[in-house]
Amino acid sequence: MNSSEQHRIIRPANRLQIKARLSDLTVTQMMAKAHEVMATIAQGYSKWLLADLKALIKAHDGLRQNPNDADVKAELFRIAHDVRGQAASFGYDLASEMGASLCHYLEAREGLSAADLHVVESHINVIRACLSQSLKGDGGPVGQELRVELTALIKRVELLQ
Amino acid sequence: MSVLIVDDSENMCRILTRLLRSFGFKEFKFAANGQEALDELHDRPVDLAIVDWHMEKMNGIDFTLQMRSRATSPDPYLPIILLTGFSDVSKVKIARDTGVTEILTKPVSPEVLYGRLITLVRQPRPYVETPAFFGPDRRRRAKAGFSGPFRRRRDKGQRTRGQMSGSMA
Repeated sequence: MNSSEQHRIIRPANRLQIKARLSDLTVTQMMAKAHEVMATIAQGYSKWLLADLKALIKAHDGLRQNPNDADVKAELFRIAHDVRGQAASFGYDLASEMGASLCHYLEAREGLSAADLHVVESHINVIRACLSQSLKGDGGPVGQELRVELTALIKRVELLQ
Repeated sequence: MSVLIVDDSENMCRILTRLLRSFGFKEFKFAANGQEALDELHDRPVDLAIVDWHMEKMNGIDFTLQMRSRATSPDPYLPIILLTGFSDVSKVKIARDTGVTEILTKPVSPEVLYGRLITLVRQPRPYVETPAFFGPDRRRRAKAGFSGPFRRRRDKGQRTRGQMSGSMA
């Protein structure tokens, strides 16, 4: 049997096209409405981020009690992943960057040493600073300083491992 | 048009719902993981699913694999937009090879979400069935200088004599 006989192309009915009349608004009007929605969410986003921060602190505390608790580590990852995915949509780019960095850090490690937990705590502290000092966007000079300190800490810890 | 949002983050569900509502979507269903989504789809079909990659119990990739399993899937042709926080090439490749229709990288913006929806409506991709894969065509654009193998009906003029003997359903 050659490769042509082994594969088949199927063109199912385009159900989305059939129902595609989503709105009577023009694309420009829909976009304006969508941006209004994002702006409204952005006004209250700091409360969501605060809730995520509290959950990160709780998970970190749990890992300090039991560094091998895979469920708590998964919960920490999940919250960091949420922050990574949401914060930048509402102006907290630095917090989002910290979420991404924390996810990468956790993904690369099975268990967490005391030094690893210090790195986790440092990520959380930067997110805390984003909220307490309203560090929007890349965080400006303060954000840059925090980023440099965290990068240096990660390098130090990785050298020891 | 009905949409199933599969995400364990309530906040992300809120963001997507409000954005989609501003685009005119009216019917929403929700699931917190892939297994819940499969159960929901067996009961009530939808027109589109937006699914997060990272979820406990069953993630977005495993959900897509189940949906593209023709023998057991409640709807193997369901358009699936995969939400992911990471756009590494390796992860995009995994998503593509699993049968995801479109990938939406977080953070989500109105323009990018709308763009994905428009692509689904205006440029639907055919489905490909091979012994190893079932899902939307993974070829997104013509590759300059592609020298074969030519396996598509539309490639007919390009085929060699040997390849012309192959049948296509």
